[in-house]
Amino acid sequence: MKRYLIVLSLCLLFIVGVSFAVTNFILPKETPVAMYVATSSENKKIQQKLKELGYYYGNIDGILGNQSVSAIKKFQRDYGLSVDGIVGSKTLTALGLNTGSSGNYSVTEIQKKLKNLGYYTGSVDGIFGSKSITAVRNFQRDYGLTVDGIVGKNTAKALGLNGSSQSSSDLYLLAKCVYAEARGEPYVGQVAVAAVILNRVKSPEFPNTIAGVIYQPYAFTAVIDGQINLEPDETAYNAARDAMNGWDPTYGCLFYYNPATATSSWIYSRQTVVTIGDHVFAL
Amino acid sequence: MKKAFIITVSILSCFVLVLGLTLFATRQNLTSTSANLESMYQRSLYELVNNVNNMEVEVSKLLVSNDATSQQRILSNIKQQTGEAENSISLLPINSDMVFETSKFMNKLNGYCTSLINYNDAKISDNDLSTIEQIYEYINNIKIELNKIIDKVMQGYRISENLGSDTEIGDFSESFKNILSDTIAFPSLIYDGPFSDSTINKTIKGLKDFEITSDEAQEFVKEIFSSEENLTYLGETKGRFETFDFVLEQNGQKYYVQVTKKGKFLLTLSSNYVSKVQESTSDKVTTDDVEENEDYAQDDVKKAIEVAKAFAKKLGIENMESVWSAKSDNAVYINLAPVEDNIVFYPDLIKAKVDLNTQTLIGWEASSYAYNHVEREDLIENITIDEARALVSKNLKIDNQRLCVIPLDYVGEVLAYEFSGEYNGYRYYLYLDANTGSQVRVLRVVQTSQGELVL
Repeated sequence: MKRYLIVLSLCLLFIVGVSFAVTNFILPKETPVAMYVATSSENKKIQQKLKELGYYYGNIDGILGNQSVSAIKKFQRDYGLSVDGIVGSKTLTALGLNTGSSGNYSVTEIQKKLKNLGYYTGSVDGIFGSKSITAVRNFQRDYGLTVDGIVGKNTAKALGLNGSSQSSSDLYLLAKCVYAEARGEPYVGQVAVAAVILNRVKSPEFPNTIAGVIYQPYAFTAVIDGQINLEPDETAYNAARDAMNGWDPTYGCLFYYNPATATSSWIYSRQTVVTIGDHVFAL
Repeated sequence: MKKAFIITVSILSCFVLVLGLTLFATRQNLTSTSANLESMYQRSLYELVNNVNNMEVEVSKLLVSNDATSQQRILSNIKQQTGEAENSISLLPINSDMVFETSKFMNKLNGYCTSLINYNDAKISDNDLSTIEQIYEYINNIKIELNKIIDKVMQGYRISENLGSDTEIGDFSESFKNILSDTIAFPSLIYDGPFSDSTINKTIKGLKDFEITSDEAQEFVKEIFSSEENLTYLGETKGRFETFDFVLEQNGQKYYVQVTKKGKFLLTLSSNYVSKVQESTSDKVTTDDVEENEDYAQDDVKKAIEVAKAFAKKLGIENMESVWSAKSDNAVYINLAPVEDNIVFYPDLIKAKVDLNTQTLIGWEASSYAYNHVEREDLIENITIDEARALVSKNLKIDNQRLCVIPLDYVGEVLAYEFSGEYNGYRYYLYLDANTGSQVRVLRVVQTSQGELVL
């Protein structure tokens, strides 16, 4: 009896071990694909298009069965897309069916505007899925525009979108670094961290762009341990925005450290300016 | 008994096999990652060495050329090399304190070249030539040290294997330490350009000449915010400004307040004020509503500007006008500048942040004002506004013009005419020197997802 227990537990251990190994190392890491949740009429369009291009020979029934999926895969292979059989936004674009992001307008912006107006209820994720399309259509109907779900010139105008809009990548980066480095700190401490980054950009000793400063090797622990990739919260954004508008509670500091965790003794040689929360700021 | 034994052994060996395979796969993965990393590091190092080698040659050429055109060409070569070198340095895995000086040198040399190029057509002066001789010494030293490092790499030294740890500085970082040789003096570069010593050590001109104690500062804060309770003194900040810092709690909101020691001046007010968004109740919004909302928002911004101006007045700062405002969510950033005799003084900007829902002041930043605000004298324009306007590109449909003082890029300020208008759907601001008529600056308004931005 005891033996069986041992064998059984070994078996269990084996299964756990194998599954752990398989999920972690052997299977390729799946990158999340922007799923395009399509209605059957949209599926029909996909099938139609694939048929026109000579990839699909089945019936146009709006059901993406085995035949459709292998057609999609074939198409993806030929067009250099990742072959997953899923019609994501890239595949959709390649098929010429991507109705939303006409390149000039960022999907996030469109979603934000629609959300503000109460048409879009999904999350602002930059994926132009069926929810977005429905929102655009509803908007177009109410505003007396051609109801096609496409954000063209007129719809964009009605939405108040400016074609030249550019994303504030600097603000995003700054907010990310603030969040990763100082999210537990008082607000002004977060502004101060953002200000230090901006002071470094202006200082000759450091790289001359925000990205350069943040990603400089060994400059920020949050970059080393990967916390930089966390999504910043509103407070971090506010702090970053304040710093970009000129707020600098440290008046020119280039360094900060947490005396409880600082490892470099060199840092103590800098002239201390102020302590905010857990961070000591120095020139 | 025997059966169980066999089962156990076979399961165990299977397990070991799987484990082995897994480890193998992981190792393969790691090997290729670290090889990629090593290649990137080496690439940056090779490029850096290449840039510095070129720089050494180009700078030495400057010392023997005596012709403005070729000097300009060489200077722009050096400028490009320094920019690239700085970029490579920032990509290398070196502790930043080991490369401060090298980085600083590259940036400064870049700024120095820019300023020399800006003196159109002129030949490099003897004074500058002697500075360049010093620069040459310095570069040559960097070159020698860098070539030692690259020699090691060519003999199989791997950068990624010499990175050190959390507590220990790696050998690779360490090897950059020698570049900061004490034997060669760093040439002090004073010029009208970026990273010049004169721009970094700005003098404070706008504060009155007396000092206060922390108690006086506390009284001052109480006075401004008409608040008796919930004021905590935090201590002093000793940066470019010396300030007394307080935390003020009002209506459940924390404000961080900084008052200068010299001149008793409210320098900064920061807070993370977030008022609740009013959820719109209507399901559908008609066009009229949207327009109404826009008007409403504009009204809100106007009210906010009044709030900011009133606050300035309370602090005894008169004649402030809003020159720029940018909405961001529920708050608006307002730039106030003094306007005297119809002249806008842009160097003395004060930034205010006002919450749009409650119309409360939630931020104040007056360091530019503290740095620059003085009584200006001798503000005389040599050319009339019409003469200046005739010099503006015909493309621009001007709808606004005024006289102003603008800060120059690095040091000083200049009296200028401001013309703003549209071209091709974009809004531009043009600044023409009121004495020479030359265009000092042009700005374009850029729409970003975070409001408007001037570039």
